[in-house]
Amino acid sequence: MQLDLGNIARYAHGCAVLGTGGGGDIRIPLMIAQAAIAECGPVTVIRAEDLAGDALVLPVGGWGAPTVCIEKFDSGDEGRLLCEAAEGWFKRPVSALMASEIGGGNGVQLVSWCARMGLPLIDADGMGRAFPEGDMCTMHIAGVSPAPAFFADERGNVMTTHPIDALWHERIARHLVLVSGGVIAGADHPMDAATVPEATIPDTVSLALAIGEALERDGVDGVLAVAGGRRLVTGKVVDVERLTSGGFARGVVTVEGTGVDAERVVSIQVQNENLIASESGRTIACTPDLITIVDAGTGEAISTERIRYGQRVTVIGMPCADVWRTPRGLEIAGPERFGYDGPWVPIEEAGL
Amino acid sequence: MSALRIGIDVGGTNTDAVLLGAAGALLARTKTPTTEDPIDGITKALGAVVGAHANEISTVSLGTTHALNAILRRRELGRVAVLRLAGPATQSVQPFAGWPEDLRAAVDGGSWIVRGGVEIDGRVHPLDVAEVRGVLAQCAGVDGIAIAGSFSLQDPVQELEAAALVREVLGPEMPVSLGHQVGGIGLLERENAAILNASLGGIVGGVIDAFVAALATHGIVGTPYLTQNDGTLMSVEQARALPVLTIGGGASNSIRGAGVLTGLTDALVIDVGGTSTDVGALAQGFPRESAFGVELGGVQTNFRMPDVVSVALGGGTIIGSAGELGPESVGYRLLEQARVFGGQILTMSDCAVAAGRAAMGDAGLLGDAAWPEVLASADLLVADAIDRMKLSRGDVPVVLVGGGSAILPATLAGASELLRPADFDVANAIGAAVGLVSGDAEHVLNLGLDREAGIEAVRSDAAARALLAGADPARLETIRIDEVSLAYTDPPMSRLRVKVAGPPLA
Repeated sequence: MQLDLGNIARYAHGCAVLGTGGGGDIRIPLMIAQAAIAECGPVTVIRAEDLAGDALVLPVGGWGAPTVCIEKFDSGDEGRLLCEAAEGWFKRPVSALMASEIGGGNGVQLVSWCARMGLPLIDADGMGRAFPEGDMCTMHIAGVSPAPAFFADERGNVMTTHPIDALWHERIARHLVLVSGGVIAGADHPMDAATVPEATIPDTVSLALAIGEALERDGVDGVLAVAGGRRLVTGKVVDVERLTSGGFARGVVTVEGTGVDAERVVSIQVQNENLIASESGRTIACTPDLITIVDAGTGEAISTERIRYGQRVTVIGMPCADVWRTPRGLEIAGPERFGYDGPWVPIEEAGL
Repeated sequence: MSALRIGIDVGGTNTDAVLLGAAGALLARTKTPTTEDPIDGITKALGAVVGAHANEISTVSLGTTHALNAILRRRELGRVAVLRLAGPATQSVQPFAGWPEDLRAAVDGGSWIVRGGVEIDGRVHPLDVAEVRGVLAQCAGVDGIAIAGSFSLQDPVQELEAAALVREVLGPEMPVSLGHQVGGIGLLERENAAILNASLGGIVGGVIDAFVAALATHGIVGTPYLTQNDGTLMSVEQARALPVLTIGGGASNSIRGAGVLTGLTDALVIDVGGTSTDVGALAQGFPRESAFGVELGGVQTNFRMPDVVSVALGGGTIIGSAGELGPESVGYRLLEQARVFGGQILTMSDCAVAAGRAAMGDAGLLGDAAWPEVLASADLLVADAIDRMKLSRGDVPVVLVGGGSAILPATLAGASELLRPADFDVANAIGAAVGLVSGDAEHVLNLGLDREAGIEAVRSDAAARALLAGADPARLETIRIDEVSLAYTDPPMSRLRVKVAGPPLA
């Protein structure tokens, strides 16, 4: 499988659906990827099993504020700087890149780095969606160390850190983001190819592409069929309450059902990503399961910063990967982690 | 006493003009076909409404589609050299990325990303003056220079420094468009806005010259203004510098005009033409703006245009054999092709006449035929558009304007009342005549600092723009403050937009 100029936009729209409202807007990352593919050629997508067991795989992504990225984005050199830093440390070549986070722009931006470096992209990622904090990844659950971590900014600054654990990694990275003016490219949890299958969620690049293709072909129904999701409600956004606290885009989005959903009111708790959907005080979908608000007409995902009063939307829920449903997974990314009451209810069992 | 106002709106089909009295009474009106060179129609319309009042006119406001048409038809556009101040950041997406090839071919006069840019926290990466001079030396012969820098809305210092270098290297006559003066947040969109602005200098400058000459021809003494996207006015000096802001005046003008005709400040406005129906919203006396930037001629910009839902339904909409609505329309040939006018084609107007909603042509030509199910599905289409535009659950007042509005019924779902003001068919020209002068500003606000001071800074920025555009400083009002908090910012930040407006300086 390849990502080329013919399918990269569909792939990006699939990433947006997996972004659960976050992960950064896909528009500029898509332009960056298109420019890189046009210049350097398509990107080959492989499974980790296709590589030698000791091949070096580098999970990568962007850190920082999506709004900064619309004013100041990649120089195009970030991928090379990250790989050179890793190769300098490990004294062997990077064999493939992998998305730390498939959801939103973070699943798209690294395609440009693969294209420019001539590296394959691993068909897997560390979240299967988007999450706000660096420790909310499957490598963390699997016990892979985030260190050494590598960072590069668009001015050419390169930094290597050796955090003692995931929380320190997050803390240090957030400071580097600040120093670099709001955004930074990062690589962490470097792994041998042999470790990838047990420490990541497989086939998520294929899934994103399949979602994007289904979206173009069959709209929302296509997405639900491919992602195994369910339609939570279709209606109109009647309230968007934004709270300006803690530097997170927190808020509550209220959707009033129309058509077959008339009389239903579903509210969605948001903290950068859509975290909990509830109806009459009852949870109908909840993190780590995926909740995405899409345009009712086109099926395109709407990020939390672009939700507006009056939009016609469908709210879809999709089951998360099994690893998030383990006690450890729920501890890291379940409702209590975000300050909500538990317990988590799997989306398949929540009655509508 | 010079207190009369003239409003002119140049549309695709008609050029409308009105003369308003000091208290807003409609003294004269005209509707003439838009001419190949729209200035001919403008001159004619001016002559038709000014009568013996040439000495009593205080303002003449013109809304025109010249700039938009130039972009859509890729005609009469200037060639523009682009200087982005951000390098080495942003090199992954070059200027003109995503532009349609034909538009780019008409406009692209070379582009460069030079070292520089501002950070969100205010740090400035210095320009390499020698590098900028070297680039500018290659730009002689273009029609304008567009300059856009990262976070230039936070601090325009570097765009201004580069503009000074342009004057030095290429002379004071070279037109320069600066991103922070034309666009909002989003470097690529702001850069696109600056490029389009630079490319429109020639055509809009020509329109302004002709407009001013037409006023002189008729001996009209009033101050000329142009209408802009949000339904407000700007001086001709401002319009020469920021021609791209004249693109969206039309839809705004009819929404504003509907407000003036009914005295309402909050309502939905339905404008029914021959081919389509536009539903817009009047909020606090101004057209509600789209939440996101719009595409212009295939180019993404961050201009906010009036928030409008359009449906393919108008007086000329053709009814299919199974009762389906359009989307084709007989358009301006209604008067020959519709059945009530002796034609062979069944249109929405025929159905409306058969049901007694409208009176036109010869109803006898329809016999006993009636099409209640056609009207029912048309009404449903409009009611759905109303529902899309409503911001709350309750019913809202709805104003009907436009020549085709006779096809609509006496009541509509979602409308608390349906108003059909007199002179509804020149609402656009009336909206132009009564326009206020406004200024907009948008910043990223650091919530870790003094928030009130931050808001005040944006407000005074907007006020400065309103004054530049020709507003009366004594009567400026803050019309709107929109704030959206931003994800993953440390310290917390929000995006703040402020609109300030006041009546034109007499």
